[in-house]
Amino acid sequence: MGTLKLPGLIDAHVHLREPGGEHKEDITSGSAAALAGGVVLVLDMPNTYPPIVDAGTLALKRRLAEEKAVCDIGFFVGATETNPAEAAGLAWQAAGLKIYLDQTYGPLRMHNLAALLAHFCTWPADRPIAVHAEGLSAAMAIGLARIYGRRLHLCHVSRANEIALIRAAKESGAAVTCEVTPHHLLLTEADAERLGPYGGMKPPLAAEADRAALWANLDVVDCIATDHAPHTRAEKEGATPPPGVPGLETMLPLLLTAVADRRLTLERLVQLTHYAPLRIFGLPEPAECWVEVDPDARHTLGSAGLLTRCGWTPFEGMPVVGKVRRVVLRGQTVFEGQVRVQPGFGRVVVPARHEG
Amino acid sequence: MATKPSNGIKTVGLAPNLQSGFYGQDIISVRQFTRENLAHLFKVADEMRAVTKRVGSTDLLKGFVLAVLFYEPSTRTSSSFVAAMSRLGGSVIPINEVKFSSVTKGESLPDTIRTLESYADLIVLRHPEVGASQVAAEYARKPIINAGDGVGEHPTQALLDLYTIESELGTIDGLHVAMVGDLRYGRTVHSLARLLCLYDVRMTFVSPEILRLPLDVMNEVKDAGRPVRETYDVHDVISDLDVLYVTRVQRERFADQSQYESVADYYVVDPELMSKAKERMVVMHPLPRTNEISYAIDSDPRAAYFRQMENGLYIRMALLAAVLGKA
Repeated sequence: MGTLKLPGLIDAHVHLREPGGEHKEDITSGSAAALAGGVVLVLDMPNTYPPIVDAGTLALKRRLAEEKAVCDIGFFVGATETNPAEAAGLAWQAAGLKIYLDQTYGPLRMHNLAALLAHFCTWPADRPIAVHAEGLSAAMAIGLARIYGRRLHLCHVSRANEIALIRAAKESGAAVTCEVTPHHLLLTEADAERLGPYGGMKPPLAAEADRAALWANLDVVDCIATDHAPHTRAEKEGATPPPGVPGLETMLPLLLTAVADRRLTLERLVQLTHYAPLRIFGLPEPAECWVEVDPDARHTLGSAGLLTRCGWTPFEGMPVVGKVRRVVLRGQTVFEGQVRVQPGFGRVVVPARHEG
Repeated sequence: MATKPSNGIKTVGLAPNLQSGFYGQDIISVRQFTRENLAHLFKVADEMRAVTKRVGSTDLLKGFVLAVLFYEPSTRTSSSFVAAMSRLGGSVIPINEVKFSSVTKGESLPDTIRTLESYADLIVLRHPEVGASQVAAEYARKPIINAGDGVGEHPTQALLDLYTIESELGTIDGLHVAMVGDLRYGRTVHSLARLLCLYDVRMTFVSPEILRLPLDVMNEVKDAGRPVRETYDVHDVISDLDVLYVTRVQRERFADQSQYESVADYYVVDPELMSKAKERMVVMHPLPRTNEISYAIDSDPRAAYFRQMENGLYIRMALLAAVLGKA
């Protein structure tokens, strides 16, 4: 067909591991991996070391990004038991609040009902609250969102019952949005068996019936986000492999393959990867920005040539069709065969305030 | 069904000003155009016409600078680009009198381009050598617009010609287009014929023997699957034409003046010829004209050549805005 031009992708859920985990990834390598995957804007999660929970750590993160990023970047503020007021004060400098209602990698698990309620009361109603909330926690979060009139965004939805719950929540008028990862759309517990620790993440890969339910209910899904969560091979092969898989570089070829397989239209792909994340997190449209793709290029995903520092992908060996050729941001070619701009080209993105 | 010249870019979900595919592009050859990006450009040109007629100008390109670098004279084309940029609120560095610039001190084209692009956001180039614009584009980091390179291409003229056909007749598909006069050296004809291949048209080429359309252009038209014929006499086809595109036989293209004399006035578009033409059709000419269109035709509503020239302003405004990503 020739070249396909799409709006630059926005990945609303990544872990760039900086500060504190730079052996796995840092802002430069992670944002480079983003560009290689046609992603121009990433929203980075706060479960770093130290976690991003106050003005000081947010400012640190901002400084690091301004020096090191090659794509644009926004930040979530993490909820702790002691920071509801301070977090709320940062609401217009962040993509959203992130609350961990279940255990995953990192120090930010919310155990305390009083603190949870304080966050739901204090965080501004017109800014989103993103939650890691599996199963029963998801139902709880939706309930709180309804009671306190907050905009809730459910991260990495993976189960049939969760997507059914979200459908019901939307139909009841709740302001709930959700995201799904490529790995939950394309892999199952059978693949987890095959991949061993390289197939381990939170939430874990599910049954085939859950995977099918995600596709069947794609109309309820607002956006696709990778939950890019790199760990080194040594860590994954160690005694207690941490949960998480990378995904930035592989998302677009996998989605384009779905388009080629007629499971997804290009228009829906653009909604899921560009317009919906902008709308949900209230972010400004990236200027003069697009991705050029060869939609017919057949290749096989693998670890060779990956820019993510961890150097592997759970999609190793998967045949795909669709290759990123060029990425333009603010009118400049930022990626063509390789990253074409210096660290610091990427800008920190904050929500767009509208007057009146 | 012929395959169209491949540019082959499909866009999905992009903002309108990024859809055209022209952003940051060099405009060197009509081969870059597709029905899709032409449709977009024509729509923008319609908007430019409306704005220019209503308020005269806009600030769409305020703060941008266009360098107009003309190695060959052309008041018409250069002033059209200057006017287009000015009416969009941008400014112009005009270099028409090449003899006063460092070019006559022996500066190469690439160096001249590289100097100008430090000052300007894009460069319009007219040069006597075929392929000069391509060379300029290879050295330049800013966009180059080809305003004519020798007997090669003149893409913006072809754009305004095509835009005129669509504006006047409402469509391009299904038309019978005749090109008359100097088809051998007339680059406007070569570019227009190539662009017309994107549409479902029939073409007739009318010229004396020594000014026939060059074989490579003829082959392109045939390869595109468009019906084509050649004839010596415009009277053969006038009653069937939707577009009569007339060109001047250019004295400066002839080394041998007696050859020029033999073909200079071999046809004239006059009221007698027009009485045989359809009621709804257009006469076009890239201007300047000499004797080949009688002044008596000027008031005929089918005489579109002055409106055609005006369209040049709107098309160039559209192109400048599109290349700078503002439309």
